[in-house]
Amino acid sequence: MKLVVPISTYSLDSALSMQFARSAFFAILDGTLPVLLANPYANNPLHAGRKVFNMLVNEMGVSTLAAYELGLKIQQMALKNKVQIIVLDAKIRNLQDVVYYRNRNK
Amino acid sequence: MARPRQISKIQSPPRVKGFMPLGHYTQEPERIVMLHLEEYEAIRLLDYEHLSQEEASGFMQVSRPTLTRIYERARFKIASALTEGRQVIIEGGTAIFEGRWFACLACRSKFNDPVGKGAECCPLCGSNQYERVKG
Repeated sequence: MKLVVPISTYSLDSALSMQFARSAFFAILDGTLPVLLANPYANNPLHAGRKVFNMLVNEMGVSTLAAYELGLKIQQMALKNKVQIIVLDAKIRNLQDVVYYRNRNK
Repeated sequence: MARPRQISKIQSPPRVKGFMPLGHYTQEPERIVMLHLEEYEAIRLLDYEHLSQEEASGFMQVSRPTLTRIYERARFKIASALTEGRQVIIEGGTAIFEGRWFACLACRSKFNDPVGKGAECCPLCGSNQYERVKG
């Protein structure tokens, strides 16, 4: 199961971003270590949600979106495409916390 | 007998269970403001997502006048909590979630079940201790 979280800086100890489609970077968790990538649509004036969703789900095969809050359009697209959503708790503060919980899962 | 309230649809559960004021406040149950889930959703769609009342009523599957009433109730509750320094708890009401939602008791994240097969474990931490989030 490929899971994606929005992060604010390009590092493994980055804080999680409050935004999803307009976050600066994403971390994709599939194996033990997360893969970091820059968000090419972070500064798009329009339709950032739709483009990010297409990139992550249709092109990269992500099956779970995890964030503090997801925008209306991304939520609608996720529900329509049967992509799982995780609304993270406030005690999960950074990428390391997500990796910790994720590795506990294995 | 009064007509029962219309059931509205909300997309996902709120991130937090409520809010507490800083400084001097009371925890007496009668002083707590209960913000219903449909009221939270109305505030989110109209004031946070900047949807029109027409669009928001479509998302919540209620008529526009019903949405207006829900929104007015929500604003009054939030205003009274702010001015009187009262705690806000978000729960209850006549709302159902879009899809089934669960709350993990280990990592406290909330997750949905997009395919409707039922959740086996938390997709984040793998714990099988979770409970259904009721609308």
